[in-house]
Amino acid sequence: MDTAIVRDATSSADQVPGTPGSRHRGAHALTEADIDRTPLAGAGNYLFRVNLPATDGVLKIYEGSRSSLLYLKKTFGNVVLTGRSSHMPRARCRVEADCVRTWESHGFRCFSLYSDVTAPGLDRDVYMVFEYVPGLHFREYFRNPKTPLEEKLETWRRFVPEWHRRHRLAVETADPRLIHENGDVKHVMLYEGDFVYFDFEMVYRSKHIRHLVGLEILCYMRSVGRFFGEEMYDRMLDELVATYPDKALLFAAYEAAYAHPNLIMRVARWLDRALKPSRRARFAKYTVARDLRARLDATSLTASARRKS
Amino acid sequence: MIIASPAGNRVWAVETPVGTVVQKLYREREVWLRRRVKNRLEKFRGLKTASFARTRRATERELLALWAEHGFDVPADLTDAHPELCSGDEITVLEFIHGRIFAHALTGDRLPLDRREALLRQFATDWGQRHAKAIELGDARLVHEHGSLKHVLWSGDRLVTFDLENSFRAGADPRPLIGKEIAGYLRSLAKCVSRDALGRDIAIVVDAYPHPDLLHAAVTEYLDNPRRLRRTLWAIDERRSRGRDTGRSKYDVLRILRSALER
Repeated sequence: MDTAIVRDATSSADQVPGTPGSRHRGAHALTEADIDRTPLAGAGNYLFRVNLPATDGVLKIYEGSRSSLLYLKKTFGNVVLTGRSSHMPRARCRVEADCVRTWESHGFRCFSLYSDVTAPGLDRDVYMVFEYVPGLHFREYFRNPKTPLEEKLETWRRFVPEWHRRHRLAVETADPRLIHENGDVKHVMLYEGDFVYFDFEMVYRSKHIRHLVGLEILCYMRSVGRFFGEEMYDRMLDELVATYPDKALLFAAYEAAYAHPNLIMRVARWLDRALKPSRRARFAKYTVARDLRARLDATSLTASARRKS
Repeated sequence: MIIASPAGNRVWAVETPVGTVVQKLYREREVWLRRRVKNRLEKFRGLKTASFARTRRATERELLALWAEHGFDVPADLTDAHPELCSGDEITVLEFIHGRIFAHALTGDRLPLDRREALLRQFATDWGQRHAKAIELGDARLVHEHGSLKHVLWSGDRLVTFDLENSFRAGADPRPLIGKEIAGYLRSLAKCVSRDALGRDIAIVVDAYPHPDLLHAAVTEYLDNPRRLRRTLWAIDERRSRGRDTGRSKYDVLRILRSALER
C-alpha cells in the first residue's frame, strides 16, 4: 500500500470498530455508505477505509490519480529497462494479489485479501479490499525515542532470520514473487509480535534469484540509513551480519552492486555510479554494498578477506 | 571500476542448529582475460584442473571425498547435509575445526620442544603415507597442488589438510609432483622458523618420513637433475628467487634436506 495504516496497537484511544485483528470471512458487497472517502494515501493509488460486518478493511483502487500516459511510460521502463512487471493498474492489482497469496502460503503475514468483497461502481480488476491491520510501521517503531535501543535491536534480531527464511525460500523455489520489489522498512509493520508485509504491486521478472535477494537487502538497508540515521544504521548492519544465517547469500548484496556476473550489467552499474551523483550519497545502495562487504570480510576466516576489509 | 579485481573466495563460520560449520563461497580470483588465458594454457598442458570458481568447488569436493576415503585427515564435506546454506552452485559447507594454522603454531618458540617434535613426526608420517598411496594408486590427486603448512590445521591430535580447490589431474605421474610438494611444504616451514630451528625440524621430518627415497627424489629433481634443460631451468629459477626469498628459497631448503639425508 502507498501509505501504511499507522496505529499504535497499545493505544486504546485508537481502537478500531469491531474486533482488532479479526479477519472478515465470506462474500460482501460494499455500499457507498461503507466507504470512508477520506483518502489514506497521497498521489497514486486511491486508498479508502471501509466498514465490513465484523471489522474494518481498506479499499485499494489501482487506477489512481496518475494519467494513463504516465502508467504507460512507467510500464515501458519497468518491462524493457529494469526487468520488472507492468505498472498498469490491472497488472498491479493482479500481481499484488498473487504475491500476497504466495507469501501467506509460506507463512509470512501480509494484509489479507478479501477477494469476495466487492465495491460499487468499479471494474473488478482494478481494486482489491484488504485486511485492516492496526499495527506499527517499522519506520515509526525504530524512530521512537521512547523505545529502548536494546528492545529495537532485539526486534531487528528477530526480524533477520525471518527475512532470511523468505530469501532461502525464494532461492529454493526460484520464485521472484518472494522478493520484495519495493523493499523498504516503510513496508514492514509490527503487529501483535508478528511482522506484517505489504506493497507488492510489482515483481521482478528475472530468475537470478540470488541477485534479486541482494538487491532487496540493499534496498532495505538503504532505507534503514535514510530513515534511522547513521548510528542505527551501523548497529542494524552489524546485527544483520551477525544474525543473518547465510553469509554467502548476504554477500549477494555486494555482488548485486559491484560484481554482477554479466559484464553488460557491470558496465551499466558503473555508468550508474559515475553519472548520477545521488549514487554516491551516504546511503546509496553502492555505499551500503561496500559497508556490508567490509563487515562480512571482517568476519571472514580467510586472512586475505580480512585484509581487504 | 568496471573490470575490478574479482572478489576472490570468502569463508565464514556459520552457526546452525547442529553446530558451527564453515561456509565457503568460491569466486573468481583473477580478471576475465587472465583467467581464460591461464586455463587455456593449463588445459593444453593437461596437468592441473581448471581454476574457474565452479571447477574449484567441484575439485575440492572430489578431493575431500578421495582423501577421506583413503584415511587422510581433511575437513568433512557437509554440503549435502546443509542445503539451506547452499544458495548457489559455488558454495560448499565444511566441517568447522577449531584449531591453529600449523605454520603459525610452529613460528617462534611458544611450542614446547617435545610437543613440536611429536607434531612434526606425526605430520611427516601422515605425509609420507599419503605420498606412498599416491604412487601406489598412480593418482596425482593425492598430491597437494599448492602444499604449504599454512594449509594444515592443528587441532588437538589432528593435523587437517585443507584448501584442495586445485588439483593435479588423476592421470598425471605423481612422482615429480611429490617432489614439488615436498619442496613447497619445506619452504613454508623455512618461512616460519629460524635457520637453526629449520635444520632441527627438517632432521625430525627426515627421521619420521617413511619413504626417504621420495625425499632423495625431491633433492635430485631440483639440485642434481640429470637433464640439462631442467638443470638450467632450475638454475635460472634459483637466481630469480635469490632476491625474493633471501635464504628461504626451495633450493636453500632442499640443500638443508640433502644435508639431513646424508647424515
